[in-house]
Amino acid sequence: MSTEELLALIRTGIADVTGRPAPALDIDTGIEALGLDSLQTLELVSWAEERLAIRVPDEELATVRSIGDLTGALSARLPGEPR
Amino acid sequence: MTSRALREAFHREYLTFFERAERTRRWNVFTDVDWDQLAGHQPDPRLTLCAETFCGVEMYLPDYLRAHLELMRGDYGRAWFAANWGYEEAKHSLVLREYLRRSGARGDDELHDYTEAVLARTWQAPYDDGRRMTIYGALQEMTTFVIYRKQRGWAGQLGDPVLPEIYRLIGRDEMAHSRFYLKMIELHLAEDRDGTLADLAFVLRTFRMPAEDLLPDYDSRIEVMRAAGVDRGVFLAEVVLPLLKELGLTRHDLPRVPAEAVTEIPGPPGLLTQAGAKR
Repeated sequence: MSTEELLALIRTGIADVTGRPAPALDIDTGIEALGLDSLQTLELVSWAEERLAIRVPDEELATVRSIGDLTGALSARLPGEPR
Repeated sequence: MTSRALREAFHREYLTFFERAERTRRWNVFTDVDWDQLAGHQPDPRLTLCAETFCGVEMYLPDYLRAHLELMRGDYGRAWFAANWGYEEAKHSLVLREYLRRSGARGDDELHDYTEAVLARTWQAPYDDGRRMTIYGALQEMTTFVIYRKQRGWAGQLGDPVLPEIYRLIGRDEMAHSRFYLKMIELHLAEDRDGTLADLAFVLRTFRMPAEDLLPDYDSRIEVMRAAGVDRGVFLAEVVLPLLKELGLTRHDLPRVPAEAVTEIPGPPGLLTQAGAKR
C-alpha cells in the first residue's frame, strides 16, 4: 500500500471518528494540529487497524505525534512491507 | 447510586489507602523541605510561573471538595477519602505558596492578589455522576503526577535547591490518589463492566485539566507547561495508555462515544483536550 493510499485511508478515518470532513494531510501534519484528542487518536488507530486487519502495539502508539508516525506504524505491519 | 456491596468494598479500600498514608506518606510543609537552601538563590522565572500556576489550580480546593462531598456524602469510604484528599491537596497549594514567598519570587501582597483573583471564580464539576467523577479523579491525579514528575526533572536541571523535593513529595501524593481511584474503577468494572467502560470512554473523550480555563493569564501558563514537556502526546503515552493497562484494559475495550454527547469547547486550545461533556 502506498503512502498516498494510507493518507487517503487516514483521512476517511478522521472524518469517521470526528464526524467532520478531514483536512488535507501530509506526513508532516501533527496529530495535535488536527484537533484530535487522545481518545480520538486511539479510535482512529483502531479504525485503521480494523480496515487493514493489523494490530499496532500500544507502546508504539505512545510515540505517534504526526501523520507520518502513524502511516509508519501502520505500514510496518502490512504484509509484504519492510519492518 | 452505588450498591451497598460496592460501598462496603470502597470502605475497605479506603482503610488500606489511609493506613498506608498514615504509615508511609505523611510529610510536613515546614520541616520536610530544606527551606534554608533558598538563601541567596535566584529562582528561575519559568519555574516560578509553573509553581504559581499549580498553586492556583490547587487553590480551587473548596470547589473540588464541595463537588466531591455532595456527590459522595452517603458513601462512607469515598466521603472519608475526599476529606483526607482535601487535607493532602491543601498542603500542596501551601508548600508551593511557601516556595514562591520564601524564594522571593512573589511578595505577600502579590500572593494575596493572586489568591483573590483565583478564588473570585468558581470551579464547576465536569460531571454530575459519581462513577464519572471517580474516573475523572484517576485521570486528573495521574496527569498531575506526570506534570510534577516533569517539573521535578526540569527544576533539577535548572539547579533549583528545593523544588525537586517539593515536587517529589506532592507527586507521590498524587500517585497514591490515582491508585485509590483506580481501585474504585476496578470495583465498578467488576459490578457493571459495560456501563463503566462507557463512562471511561466518555471521560477520556471529554477530560480537561481542572481550572485550566479559570486561572489568570492561563494561555501563557500553558505555553510554559508545553515547553516543560506536557502536551496531548504525553497525556496519551504517559497517562491514558498506562491507566488502561493498569486496569487490565486495552483501547479495543473502549466503546465509541456518541458525537451528540460531546461538545467542542470554544476558545484557546486546552492543554490536553478541546472537548467537554454536554450538560
